[in-house]
Amino acid sequence: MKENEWRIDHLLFGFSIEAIASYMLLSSSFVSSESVYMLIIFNFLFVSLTFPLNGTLTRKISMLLIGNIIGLFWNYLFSLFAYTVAYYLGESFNTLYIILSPFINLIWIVSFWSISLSTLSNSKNRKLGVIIDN
Amino acid sequence: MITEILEALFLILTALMITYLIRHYIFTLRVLKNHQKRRGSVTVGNVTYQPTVSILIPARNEEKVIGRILQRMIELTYPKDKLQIIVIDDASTDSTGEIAKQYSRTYGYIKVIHRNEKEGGRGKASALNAGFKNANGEIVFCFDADYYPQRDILEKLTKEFTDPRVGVVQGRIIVLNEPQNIVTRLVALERIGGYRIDQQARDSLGLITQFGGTVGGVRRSLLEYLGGWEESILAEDTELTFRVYLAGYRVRYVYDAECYEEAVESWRAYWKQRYRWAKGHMQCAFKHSFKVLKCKNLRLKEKIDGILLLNVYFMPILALLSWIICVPLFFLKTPPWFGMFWASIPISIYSFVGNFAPFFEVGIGAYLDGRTRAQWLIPLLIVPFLYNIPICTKALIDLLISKIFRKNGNNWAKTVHSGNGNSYIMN
Amino acid sequence: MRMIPNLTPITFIMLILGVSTFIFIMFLPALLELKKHKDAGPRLIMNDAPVMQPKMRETVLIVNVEEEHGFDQMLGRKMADVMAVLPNIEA
Repeated sequence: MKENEWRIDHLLFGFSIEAIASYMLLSSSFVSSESVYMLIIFNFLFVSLTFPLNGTLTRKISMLLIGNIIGLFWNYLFSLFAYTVAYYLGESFNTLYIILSPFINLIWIVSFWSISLSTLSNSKNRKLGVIIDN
Repeated sequence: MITEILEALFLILTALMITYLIRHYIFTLRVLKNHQKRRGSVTVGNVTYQPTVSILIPARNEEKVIGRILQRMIELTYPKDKLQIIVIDDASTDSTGEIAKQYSRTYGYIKVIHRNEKEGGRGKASALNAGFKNANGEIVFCFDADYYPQRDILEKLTKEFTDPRVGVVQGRIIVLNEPQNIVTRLVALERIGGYRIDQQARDSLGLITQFGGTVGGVRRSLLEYLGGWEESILAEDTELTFRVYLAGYRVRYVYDAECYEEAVESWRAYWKQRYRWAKGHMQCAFKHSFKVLKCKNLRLKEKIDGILLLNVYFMPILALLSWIICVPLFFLKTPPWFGMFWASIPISIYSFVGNFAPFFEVGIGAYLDGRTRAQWLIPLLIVPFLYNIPICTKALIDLLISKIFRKNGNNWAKTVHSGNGNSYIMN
Repeated sequence: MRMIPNLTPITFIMLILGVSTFIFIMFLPALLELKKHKDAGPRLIMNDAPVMQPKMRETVLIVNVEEEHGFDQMLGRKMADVMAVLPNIEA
């Protein structure tokens, strides 16, 4: 396999999975709409920017799955937190939730995607027999 | 009525941010797909194209770094009989002038121009114009005093001028003192995104490639035609870029022509540098936006990209504005599409930093560079973004005040170089 | 909202801790890399310098990532180790 070969096959497979996942998320009543949009954005970015890179398809799908689990868990946790805060401190804290939630949602997307990319970089360099890190 | 206005405003701002996001996404995909392809060496007949070259090095109080770049200039592989190096000692109060003079005494192709307090200290553009008057090369290059280029950088850059449409060339900048502290590491990430992805994509897509004011060269004839650098604008490099394109020429980015730079090492220095860039860029936006739209030398895609590039420093302010607007909008009436657009705004938060490369540009750029741990710092890019909001806001307010009251608010705040980069050079 | 537990003050505190911990975990890799950076540092500008340099072990922050030259870092480090104990003939 060439170094940095553009993996079209992985990309197409990833988009198929992403389409199915997006449909399931949109149909779900357990996840808030903002979180659904964030998960769709995460899936789209992850698939389009990570799946074409070097690395096994299994690893990429695993990372995508883990990312979605983290996203869903975070959605549940933060929604519960916002509901509890509103219960104890008043309805106006819903405003804080609306303002902060997409922002905090993005933190996990950026963190997770960055770590995934780092994992793929490591596997790419290992394949080339180049050790970069000490 | 108010609700409708807020809704419309929110929609427009979100649409703008999504436009930038899509643009950067296209850039990332483009480079990812094509980065294996290399442009072949260009030769004229059997002879490598080697025009006479003048290198301008403006320096004001750069005693800690000037020796390093001059030593590097001596080591360049370009034929010395075709090379002229001009150091513009711009009213320095330290030993910059003396150090440069020592080199000029030993090497005939190095010349030093000393400017006193009256004529100097009026900014980089003024210093470059002073140097340009003494330049006799067919191609005029600029290097900042803290830079450290490849030895064969001139060969890589000059060969692009065999294309008569190319008026300016730009090389890649890499941060030398990256491991110094958190500021240098975040700036390095910004540079990776900006040069490895952004510039490269714009060049390969035939859009507006930016001349960065250093590690780059201009055709002497073109520069004479354009009247040199514009001294009233803080971002003289961006200003020159657009005048070049408006005149029908192009800027070519040469990604394998690399040069180290010494990045700012403190948040205070970061503020001063980015404030200058933001204000200068906004000055260019006011000056050139309309001209870009009307220009017959530019294709539609260049016009669109040019407008987006010119106005990029307004985006942190607009991102903040959209965030502020959502609060009353939420209380007055939450439209059904609110959630969808609101979800896209935070992505913009990680998109408008430094050279305004989104987090995915930075990540892919680091990946292509073979970095394995630099990506771990990407979440921290939120810090420079949040920092850029007051920087850009102040720059805009100061600019508007100077325009309304017709004051000359162009104070060139020089970036102080510590010379710490010297310890990272492997010589 | 479904699956809501009993809203006691303890639940409230647990949720605050949970959210804070999650956010901290998200920033943890960045903080680790800052504290104890293992990243190789910036690209080495490829010069026509010798491939192996005795100083390579000292300047571990700068790493050659010019893969098209097929430079094997493992071999380079082994040879640098050997050269480090040899006398410096350039002195």
